[in-house]
Amino acid sequence: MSSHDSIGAVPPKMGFLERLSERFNPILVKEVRQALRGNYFRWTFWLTVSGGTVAAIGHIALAGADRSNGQQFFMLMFTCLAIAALGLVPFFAFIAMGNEWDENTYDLLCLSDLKPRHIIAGKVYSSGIQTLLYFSAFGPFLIFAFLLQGVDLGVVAFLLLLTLMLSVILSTLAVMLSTTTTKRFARMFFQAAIAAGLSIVISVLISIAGEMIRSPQTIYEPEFALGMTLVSSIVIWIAAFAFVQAIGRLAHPEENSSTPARTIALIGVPVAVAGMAATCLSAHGMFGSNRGDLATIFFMFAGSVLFMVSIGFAGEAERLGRRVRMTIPTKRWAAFLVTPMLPGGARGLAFFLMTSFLLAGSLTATRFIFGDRLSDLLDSSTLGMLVAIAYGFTYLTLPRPLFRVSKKVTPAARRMLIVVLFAGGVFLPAIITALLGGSPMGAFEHFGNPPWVLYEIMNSGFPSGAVETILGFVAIGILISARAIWRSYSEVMHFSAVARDRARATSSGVTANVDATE
Amino acid sequence: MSAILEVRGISRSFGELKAVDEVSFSIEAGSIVGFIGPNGAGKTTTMRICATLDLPDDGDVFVNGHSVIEDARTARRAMGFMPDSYGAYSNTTVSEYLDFYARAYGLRGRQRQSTVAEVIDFTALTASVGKEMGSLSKGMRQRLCLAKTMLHDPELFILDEPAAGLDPRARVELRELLKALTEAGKGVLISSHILTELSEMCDAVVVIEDGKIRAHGTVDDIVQGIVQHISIFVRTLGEAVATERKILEVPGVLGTRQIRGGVVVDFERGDEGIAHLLKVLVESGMKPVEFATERMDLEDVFMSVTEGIVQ
Ligand SMILES: Nc1ncnc2c1ncn2[C@@H]1O[C@H](COP(=O)(O)OP(=O)(O)O)[C@@H](O)[C@H]1O
Ligand SMILES: [Mg+2]
Repeated sequence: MSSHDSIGAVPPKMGFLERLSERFNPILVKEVRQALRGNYFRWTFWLTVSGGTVAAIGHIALAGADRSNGQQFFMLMFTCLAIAALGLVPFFAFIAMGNEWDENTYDLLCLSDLKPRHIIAGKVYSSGIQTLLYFSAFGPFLIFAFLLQGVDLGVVAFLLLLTLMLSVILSTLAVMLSTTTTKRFARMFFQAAIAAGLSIVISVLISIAGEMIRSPQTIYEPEFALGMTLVSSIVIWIAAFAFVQAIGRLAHPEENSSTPARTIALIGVPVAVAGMAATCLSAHGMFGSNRGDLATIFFMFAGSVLFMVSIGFAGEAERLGRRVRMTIPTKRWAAFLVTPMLPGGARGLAFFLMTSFLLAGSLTATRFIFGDRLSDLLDSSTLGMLVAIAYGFTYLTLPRPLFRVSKKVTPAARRMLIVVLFAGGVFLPAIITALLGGSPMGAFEHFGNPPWVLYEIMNSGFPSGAVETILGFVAIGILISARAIWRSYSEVMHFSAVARDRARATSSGVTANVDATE
Repeated sequence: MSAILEVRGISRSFGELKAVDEVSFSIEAGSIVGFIGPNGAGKTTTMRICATLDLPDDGDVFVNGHSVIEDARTARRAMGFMPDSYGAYSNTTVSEYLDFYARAYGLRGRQRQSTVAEVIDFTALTASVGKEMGSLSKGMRQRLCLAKTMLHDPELFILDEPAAGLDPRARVELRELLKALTEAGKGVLISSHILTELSEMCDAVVVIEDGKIRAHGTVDDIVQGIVQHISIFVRTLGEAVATERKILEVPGVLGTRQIRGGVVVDFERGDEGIAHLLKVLVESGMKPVEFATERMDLEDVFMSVTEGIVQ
């Protein structure tokens, strides 16, 4: 049995489908087989499709076929399709992934040649296939609705594309959620949350679809295209991040799952800058002509996202794993540059500082490119960005002394601490003010609440004492974290040196003449 | 021949509990090593580390020379792991299950089909290929999982409690399969908390308790290592009491006790001494009818080792 040439069994000839399936992800093949054999998909598929058919026939019989009926009929069919593609399919993706935990088959999958990204991608693909099946089942009805007239073809194409994209993205999110926990109870909770979330998405999409069908001209306006592009970029970014997260959950604990997530987060910076540039190019009055406000809007959005993902990074264990050490570049400057991208809590702080300054800098540069003069750039928008970075840094560093209280402060607990301290910083002073009988309106006007401080800066300049307080916060943050950040860098430089020595040793050992690349 | 599995000083703690404590041992190609110890001894933890599914806090494991920490992918390729519990995929037949894992291991086309056919043949699952996994008996499931483990033709098999819950017949079948594997030059590490499951099939045993290795080697080696004496059962035509009295005069005898109408003699190791004992008996006219060394079996080894009794 050690050689793979068969002795006894003669394999049967492979059919067309068999040969076709060779090309696909093995998980996809398995999932499709299971789905086709299992009850869940068969029943939901036939129920949805026959429900749709009955509704279609009933509608035509009762209402006849005129212009407004075309619209009603389309909405009826689109609702069925949306429920199937955005409700049933993502929900099933969550269940299918959860079954792997239940059946304890993850270990076996991880041991095979399938990389975690193949496993996650296979699950997502199989959701895509199911969605396509629903599309092909409902396709004839939707064409029929178009033939009834009253429905704009552009709107139909747009809605179908949107539904397809959303279906894949929601399935990715569902798969990611199901990798976050192996506990049955937690997954029951997630199931309820997912069901609720999907219902909301479906009803929002259906009402949007209704609007569009009634007034199709909106989708041909340039602002619509711009808005859709921005929203799609955000949603695709979220899906990419979820995908990387899910992969990280499946990977070996010693594998580096932080760098891919940091990379996706970093990609958010050029996306935000491109968004601002596109808005500058297209907007005639939509955001006004004030590019400072525009930069602030994009910064606040992208910066908040960076802050949120940095909470995850800042909670990571500080030391580099044994396997990550071996991937550090040998060149000093390269090792220095990639340090914020490597796992570790203090390197998470470095990542936050690097990306947020990069974001603020490139948004300001975009203002310059689109016509603001250098003297314009030093306004409340730029100052606001700096203050926001200062707050982000402070809230990420403040809980660090608590990390070292005990070994039991796991990464998850560290992240909780950051969130709790942030919430405390914003709400506690407000609650105290309210308890002391202060005005409820002014309760949130304090220096622990960055949105208020930023709002003041943008509208009426720094409140009195703000500069000193913020500088004080930053000083405390630096005091707490400087040593850890320094050590996180020197650790990387150390292992870079080790890698350099090793490279030199092997190259001089194998070929004495070849210069050990320095 | 070099070791197919080499465990070098691995430790693994869960909080305060040191589940695996400086464990080292190795397995040669073509041999079956039993990994025995009571429940909670650290067998599963050790095996999961060997299978690259968990990480040691300290130490390293080499599968065919490849570190499970630094070179996990290559190590995985050379090794097949069968966990102690795993579920059935719903709505999946035996052949679909194997087909899926063959794909997952990168086998394509005819090669995949012939490999699946081979392992089905090897594990005698031919009659069940069309059955759904959920309907299989425990023994058939174990064989299916073993078949799955064989798909990528690993050099080393790590089997966690594969015999647990099997009926005697299924156990014999499993033993035959493992024997065939070692004849093909594979190394096998097989764990159990029940000695009798392993006693007939293992070339060597590693005994673990509280995360520490208590003994390692062939059963005979362990007996020699931990037991300083040998026991001989002697029965003569005469009175047992008289025989016992006579035997106690022979140099090298450590103790005696009467049993089954004869005498068990605890004797210093060494064939010379045994030959001398027999000679004394015959020369003093005792007429021995039975004179046999009492073989200490795995069960005795296990008991004496894990209770820390070293005589
Ligand atoms: N993931 C884990 N978390 C905490 N404790 C664990 C974990 N896995 C195993 N243990 C503990 O480690 C010890 C050894 O377990 P295990 O290796 O499963 O033993 P065995 O397989 O020999 O029965 C047990 O006390 C068990 O409770
Ligand atoms: Mg166990």
